[in-house]
This record gives sequence, C-alpha cells and structure tokens, in this order.
Amino acid sequence: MRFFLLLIFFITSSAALAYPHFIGHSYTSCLNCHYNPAGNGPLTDYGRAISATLISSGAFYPESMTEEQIAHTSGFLFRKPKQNYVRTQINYRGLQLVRNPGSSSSEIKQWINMQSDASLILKSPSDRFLAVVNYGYTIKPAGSATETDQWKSREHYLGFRFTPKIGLYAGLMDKVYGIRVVEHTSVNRTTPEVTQKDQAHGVKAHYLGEKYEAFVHGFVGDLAKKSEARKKGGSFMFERTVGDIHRIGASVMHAKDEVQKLLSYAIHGRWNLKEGSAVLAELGQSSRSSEDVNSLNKTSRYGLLQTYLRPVRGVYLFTNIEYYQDDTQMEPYLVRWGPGLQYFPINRIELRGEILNTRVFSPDTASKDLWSYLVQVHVWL
Amino acid sequence: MKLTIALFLILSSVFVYAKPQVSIFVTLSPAGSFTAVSEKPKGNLFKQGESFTADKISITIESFKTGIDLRDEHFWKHLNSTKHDKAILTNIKASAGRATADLEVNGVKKPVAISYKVLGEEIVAAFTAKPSQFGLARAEYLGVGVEDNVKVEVTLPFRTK
Repeated sequence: MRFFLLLIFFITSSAALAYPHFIGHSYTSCLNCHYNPAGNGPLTDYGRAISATLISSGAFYPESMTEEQIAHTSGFLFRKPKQNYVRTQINYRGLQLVRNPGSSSSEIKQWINMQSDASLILKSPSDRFLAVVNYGYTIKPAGSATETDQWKSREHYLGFRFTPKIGLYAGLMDKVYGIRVVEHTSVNRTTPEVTQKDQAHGVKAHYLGEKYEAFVHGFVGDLAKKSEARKKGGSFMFERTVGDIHRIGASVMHAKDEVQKLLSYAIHGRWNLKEGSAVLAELGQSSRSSEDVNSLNKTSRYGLLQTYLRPVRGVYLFTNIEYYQDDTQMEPYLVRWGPGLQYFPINRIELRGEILNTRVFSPDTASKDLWSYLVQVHVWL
Repeated sequence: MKLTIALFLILSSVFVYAKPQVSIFVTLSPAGSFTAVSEKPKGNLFKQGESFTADKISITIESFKTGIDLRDEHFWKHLNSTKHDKAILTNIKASAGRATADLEVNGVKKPVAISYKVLGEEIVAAFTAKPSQFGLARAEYLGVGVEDNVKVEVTLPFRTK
C-alpha cells in the first residue's frame, strides 16, 4: 500500500527553476547564470541575457532588433538595469496536470499554481557580496495531510565570494546534493528529500577550481518548521570536469530529525552533446533508519536518465526515464518514463509539455500502467 | 536495393574527410567555456619531403561562430574586426611535428610555437596564444569574463610539391 501511495506522489510531476541540461551549451557550472552557485533561484544579469539570446527563440523578435538589444530587454520589466546594487525578479509557474487521460471513470484534471514568488537581491557591483530573499506562495505537497498552502520565504541567504573561486553562503537554501533537475518530484530529488520544499537553514561553502567544483553544506533544518520536523545534518557534493565540457560527480548527505536518520549517496554525470543537447544521469541510494521499533528501516534505490536535444534555438526535446525501488529488500520497483517538449517562444515565457507513463513491476501484484500528461507555463519578469 | 542503400551509407561514413577548420577554445571565468569555429581558412599548405611550408594562412574574423549570436557579435567586436578583419599566420615552417609562424591579430604580429600531427592528407596543428599580447583588453560581459589564454586548433589539407 505504501508503495502505491508513493506511486501516486510520483505521477504528480512538477518543476522548479534549474536547468542543469544547459551544460549542453558548455556551461558546466551554475555560477555564471545563478546567484546561488548550486543553481536554482534568481538569475544573474548574465543569466538573464543568456536566457534571452541563447535559450529563447528569436523567431518573434522584429528583424531590426539586434541580439544586443534583445539582451538589454532581459532586465526586470524589460529594462537594462541602471545601477548595480539591487535586482528584482518575479516568477509564476502553473501547470495543468491530467491523470488517466481519456478514462471516463478515473480521469483527473488539476490546475496547480506551482510557483508565485518574488525575489530581491542586494549586491555589490561585482556580485562579491549578496543578500537574496525569495518570498512567495507555496502549495502543500501532494498527499500531505499536515501541511497547507502558505506564503513563505523559500530562500533567504547572505553570500560572500572571497575570490571568484571561493564563496561562503549562510541562510535558508536548497541542500546541495546530486543533479538539481527541473522536475522536483523526480526520484533523485524526492528520495534523498531535496525537493523544492526541503530547504534548510545552514552554511554552504563553494569551491570552483579549473577542473573541479565542490560544495560543503551544513544545515539545521528549516527554522520556520517545528523543531521535531527539522532535519539536521550535512552534505557534500563534488564534480570534476571531463574532456573540458562534461561533468561527473558524487554526493553524500546525512540528515536526522527526532525520529529518523537519512543517509543518501549518489553518483552522477552530465554530458555535453553540443549545440545545446545534453544527457544527465544519476544513480543513488537513501537509507532510512530509526530507533523507533514501529518505524521501518529501509534502503531505497533510484536512477535517473534524461536526454535533451535542441533541434533549433528555443526548443528542447527531452526524454525522462526514472527507476525507483522503495526497499531494496523487496522486489517491487517502479519505472516512469516519457517524452516532453520545452519551448521558450520568447524571453520570459517557457512552455513545457510532458507525457508520463508509470509502470510498477512486482512479482505479487499486477497493476495497470498509469498515464498522465502535463502542460506547463512559466512566466518571469 | 536495401543492400545498395546500406553499402552507400557505410561507404559514405567511411570516406568522410575533415573540413578545413580553425577552432579557438576559450575558457570563461568564473566557469564554462566556448569554442569559436570557422570553416573558412584560406591559404595553401605544401609538403616538401618531411617538411611543410605555407606563405600565408588567413581567416576572416567574422566567419567565426561561437554558438550564440550575441557572443558572435561580441567576439568579432572584441577582435576589432571592423579595423582588422583577418587573423593571419605567415612565415610558416614545419617539420617533425613542430612548427614556427608569425600570428597577426588586431594588427599585432607575434611569433607562435605550433605542434602538429599529419592525418592522411591534412595536418592538425595546435598552439596557444595570450590575447593580451595582441593588444586585446580582457573581455567581460555582465560579470562573466574570458581567461587570457586560448588554445587554437587548425585543420588544413596539404599538397605535395
């Protein structure tokens, strides 16, 4: 039964703001485009310009408009910033999720306002010092009986880069672990508990070498949550550049609250197929243990493979394959896969469509495949 | 028919010759890289015994593509293409995998040390250059800069004299 509840959770796919597949454009690190070197969150001026001139289609701009002019319109409210100390961003992301499409008895259609938030960034002109606050409306996790939709800060931190290669960040941030893929309900984010709702207060150190990138993150849980719900611990992630344009890496994370310990470890790779195309892969395990005799100790295993192909500017065709085994001592496992399309018709608008098939492989039970599709719109100012 | 198509596909994949090409590998700061590629180098390379010579190999700056249109414009502008529209290698002397030449970029001429390999009827040559030595200021756009050390790779067919 527990396995099937997890299944329901997994087919509720949605997304956050991070695009690790842009390694296909030779951006090995997140630092060029995001204030947070681990990705996610507000974009730097460079990231906004790149989103306008590399990521988004140029088809709807007048021919008289130069790429330089397009880049200038990437600033907040379509303007080139006139000062170097304050930046603001607003994001909305909503999606139509349809489960069991075409079924007269079990089709479920649901519109989800997944992200509605605003960011304020105070910074020094060189981006050496940063203060970042992100505040917005967050919906409760699918199936959660204890949480509610709420207004909250998803991210607030101070950052200081001692040198361009070394930085220290303190505050509420995403935990550093694995590939931060777009889909926050993918198995490599739900299993180790690093979804868009799992931020924690802590301190994060970042090192960016010529061939290496490393993060160390110590955290005490989200201080806005009740103390028994805060997972305290630390994580470490390491990536090495291979062949100048690819990355391989490993992560480990240990976290515990009053009832449970969670140890996760993973290896991953990001391969640049050039011209914007890329392959992402991650393989990992999470072990949960508890001294409570009523709690189940188990190790869950997961795998993720994503391919992104960019036929023309603005369009990414992707395929997502996920493997999940809830308990390595038990036989059932789940495979979710499907193709999708990510389209940036013009800067500030992202459209995304995805079809998902979920199949449970079990020696004891037979279940129908679950189908779903989603159409998503993302707008940012 | 199927056999003919299969044979054609196999043969066409075997007899592929690399195009003449110049690639400039640029490292970004704080992270990342890009490659500027042009398939339009001009000049004749001759083999005489075990040595190679060429009077002049040139390439138009605005024939380079970097993968981003905006970056193309910045690349050309940074190399001062309106005033000095070509990069030129002259006085090329090569033997035993090593070569010397004079490289002219932005109107500034500097000697460069080249290593090369012979692959069939073409050579693949590589050298490094410091843009600052050619009177080029450090390139930077919205906080992302370029390291002052680029690797250049040149693929050219040769003729035997």
